[in-house]
Amino acid sequence: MIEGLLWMALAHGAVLLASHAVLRRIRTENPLPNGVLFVLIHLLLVSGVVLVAGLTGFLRPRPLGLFGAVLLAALLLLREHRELRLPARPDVGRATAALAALIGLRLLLQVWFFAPFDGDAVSYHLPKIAEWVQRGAFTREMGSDYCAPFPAGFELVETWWVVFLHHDVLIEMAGVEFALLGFLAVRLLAEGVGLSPRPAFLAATLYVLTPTFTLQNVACLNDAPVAALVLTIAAFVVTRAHPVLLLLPLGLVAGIKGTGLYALPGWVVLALLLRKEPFARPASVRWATALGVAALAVGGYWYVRNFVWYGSPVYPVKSGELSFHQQVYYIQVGPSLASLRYSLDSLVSDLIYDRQKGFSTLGTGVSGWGILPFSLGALAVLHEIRGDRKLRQVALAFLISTLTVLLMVKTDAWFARFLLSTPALACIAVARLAGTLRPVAVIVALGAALQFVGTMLPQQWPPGDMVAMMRKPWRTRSAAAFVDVEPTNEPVAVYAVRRSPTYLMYGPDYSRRVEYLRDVKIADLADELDRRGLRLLYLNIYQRPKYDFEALVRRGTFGQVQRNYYRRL
Amino acid sequence: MIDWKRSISRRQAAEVLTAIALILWRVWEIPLVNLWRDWITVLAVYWGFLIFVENPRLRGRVTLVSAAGLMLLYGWGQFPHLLSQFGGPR
Repeated sequence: MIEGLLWMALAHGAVLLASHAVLRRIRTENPLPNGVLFVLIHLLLVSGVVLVAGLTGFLRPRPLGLFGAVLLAALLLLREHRELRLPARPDVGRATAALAALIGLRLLLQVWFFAPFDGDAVSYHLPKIAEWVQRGAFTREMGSDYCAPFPAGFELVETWWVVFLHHDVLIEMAGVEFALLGFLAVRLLAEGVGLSPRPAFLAATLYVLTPTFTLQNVACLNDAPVAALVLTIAAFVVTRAHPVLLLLPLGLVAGIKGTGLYALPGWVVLALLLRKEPFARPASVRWATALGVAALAVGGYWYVRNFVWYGSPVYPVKSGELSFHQQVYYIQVGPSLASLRYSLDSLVSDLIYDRQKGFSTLGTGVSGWGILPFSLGALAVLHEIRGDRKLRQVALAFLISTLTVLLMVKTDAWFARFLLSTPALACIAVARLAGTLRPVAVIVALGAALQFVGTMLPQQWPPGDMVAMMRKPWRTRSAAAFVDVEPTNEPVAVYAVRRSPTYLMYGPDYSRRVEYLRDVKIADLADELDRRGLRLLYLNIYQRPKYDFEALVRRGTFGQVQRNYYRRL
Repeated sequence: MIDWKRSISRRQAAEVLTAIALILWRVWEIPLVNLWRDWITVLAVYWGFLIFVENPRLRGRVTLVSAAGLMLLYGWGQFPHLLSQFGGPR
């Protein structure tokens, strides 16, 4: 662990200093976007390093740490550290500063005390990270879930936070970095529509409190990072950043989740509306272009990989005849007016009230936008856009983006998580209104307090279970106990076609062997386990084939250990 | 306070028509008895108010009252879930 910490410090220090060095070459005359640019460059460098290390088999603490040491030495020799400047102290009100500090502190505590617990994360986002970290390289094995082959841009950043310690205690830091990006993007967007620094800071702070956004930041899910990048694109369009700079968030968001691209039409329309305003040029267009191309390469990697492996760049999204399994996890292909109609109606008639369920990481049955956008935020949008042309144009872009996302995703209980950038408009309008209507501050404070309290813990699990997990020592902290996949210390074979939280089987330190059985008939399961030298089987299949398996249990070939675990007898 | 004789601009007419269209949509979609607690209807009525009332003080008061009302409406649905997080009934 100590050695891992050393390599981690060297590699992180090197990439941070390198990010600053690159920022010096592409910073804009207007200082406002530079904070956003720094975080973008850092995310790009981290993603690029993990991608190259994964492809070349150097995804281990020592090679990455040595690379970091060499890079750091080179940067120090080039005296890059002498160019470091602390960012100017932000102009921010006392109450807003206190709220922002509380949110920041809470995020860090959640990183420390939460272990990955979300169902989607532990079923198909994270098992690939466990495989990569165990093997020290990218693997074809990514887990048994149908959705595992989706682009894994966010997982690259998560890997950066686990590879050195060989432990997932800090994995949520990846989401925190995207929370910071979302914060900076909304602040930039707010200043771009004319807010002065104080209300812009307030708008950004309120946005980070958006319930689903703030919970996703510490839940290893990628919709919040997508929202942060979409808002970055929005902020760059509004502040007229040079088009090559837009390639950075564009490439990164494409590599995280395609839904980010569905939101683009609104921002294209806004770019057209603002086309007569001059661009803010970066210090070096050549450097900015190189970075933009690198971002497209990092983001595009997954599509090329899927084309090579599966014959389709957007696999597992497919049209035409679907198997039963594919229908269960059907992903809409192309636009659908029916989806737009049903989702929009569901959003404004039901989900927006957040009344069906508590706040959760996927926003199941709720919009997850919170009380402020619902109440004061919506009123403030109407109040403010009537008197400000630019804000009206930005609101139009938000509306178009929201509608195009709804047009492209199927109506289900979770679709609102694809709309996590939309509440930013309400937060900006609230902050603007608070500047002219002082009593609004009371409502803002009350709403912010309620959103803060309501997002202390994700509400999809009983609080007692979450607290029990948080009380565990950090080395063994895991959600396995309450997700019902508490593993033993022996290797496990997974035979599952249903969604299964297999990430938890690896253990928080990735010390346990997990093998996935595919294309094996039920009758051959025992032989397959014998062939692989495994005794423990995790089974999660549909009822019909399970009848066949139960015959093996009755015959004494397998004995049940706990709910889904069986032992080869 | 409301100058009904004042001529309204083309933009205001478009806004009024949009607000009316929103209300008609909600009347079509949901039972009339639920209209008072429909988010879109409340926003559409508030929008209509903004179009015709320019007195800043009255606007401010109505905005605050409307926001408080919407907060109560929201809280009615969400707070039981919030309370369950702290040991209340789920």
